[in-house]
Amino acid sequence: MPIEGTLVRLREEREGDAELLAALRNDLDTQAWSKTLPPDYTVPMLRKRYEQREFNYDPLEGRFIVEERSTGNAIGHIGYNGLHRRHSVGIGIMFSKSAWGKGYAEEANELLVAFLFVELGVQVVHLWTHSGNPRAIGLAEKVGFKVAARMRNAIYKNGKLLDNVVMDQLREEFFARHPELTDELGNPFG
Amino acid sequence: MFQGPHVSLRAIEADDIADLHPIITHKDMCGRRYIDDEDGPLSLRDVERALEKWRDAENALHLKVVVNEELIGYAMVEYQWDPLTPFLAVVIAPVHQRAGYGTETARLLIDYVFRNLPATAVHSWIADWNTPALAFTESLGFTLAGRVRRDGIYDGRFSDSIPVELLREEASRAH
Repeated sequence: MPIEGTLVRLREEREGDAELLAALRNDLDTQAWSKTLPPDYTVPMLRKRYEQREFNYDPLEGRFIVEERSTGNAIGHIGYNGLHRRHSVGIGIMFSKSAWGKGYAEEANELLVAFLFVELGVQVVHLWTHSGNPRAIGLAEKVGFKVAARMRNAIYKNGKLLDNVVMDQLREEFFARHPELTDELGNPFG
Repeated sequence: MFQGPHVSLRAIEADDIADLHPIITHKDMCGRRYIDDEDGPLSLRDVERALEKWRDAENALHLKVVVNEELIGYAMVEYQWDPLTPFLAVVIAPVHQRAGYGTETARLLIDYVFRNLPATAVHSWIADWNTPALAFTESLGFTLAGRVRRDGIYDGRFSDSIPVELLREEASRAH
């Protein structure tokens, strides 16, 4: 069952998404947060990646396609990785430029963060971005993240030395933003 | 390059396990030994596996710290794919701490990084409870880059991680 929002839904990756994923990897603005990749990814490469994914009952990562609810169009990719169960996890997002500025990425982020806190029971969610991407920082702040650390000159992209920016959101901060939810798990250490 | 007035940094050999094991498993080293799965006691085989991982790691330098032909610790420089900001760690056996060997080791490695890698900075991550390590990096000229909350668990609480960094120009001024 997809994770449903008002504007978007997060659903599993499908074979037919390879075209979108190749396009996201081949756009220098969406492909990766910390590095520049050669824009030569092919649809068969992404299809192969999809086919190589095996069933796992205890995954430490999750990958979702973001779908526009009104049209059913796939517009982006969002996921988590490096899960330390009931403790911490990192997230990442890639969005087609055509879907920027419509609130879709914000809702997709919120849906994923809610899944991580409410379903997976993590204590903290981290994300990494860089100082040359104020949109990403602003978007993360909208859904409750705070800048945690800023490492100078750690990323080189688009001809610029940029700061590596780490952002985080604690469990209690998420639940404070969602008074309609009750946190029965809390912080096990009090 | 890997030789200071007192410290010699050398490749770790298979038969160093017997000397490394008591350092890595010393009760005061828990949480500060920079190896995976470091919560519990480690067997000789666990340490052997850590050494195998170090040996197979790409873009990484794992060395033993030797003083007067005695193995007193280990140190590492590594990066995932981007040599812009390599990660640095120095681990000295408790009995040999506060003798200047850690500082000498770190300076040798910082010198190695900025002479041999196209790095803009060198960095490390330190748990918030590890105040001696924070003071140690500060004495080397590192500055705090922030505080990543609830990144670890230590002694009955979540701990924060504190990234520290030393830019190339800062290193040349400090040393």
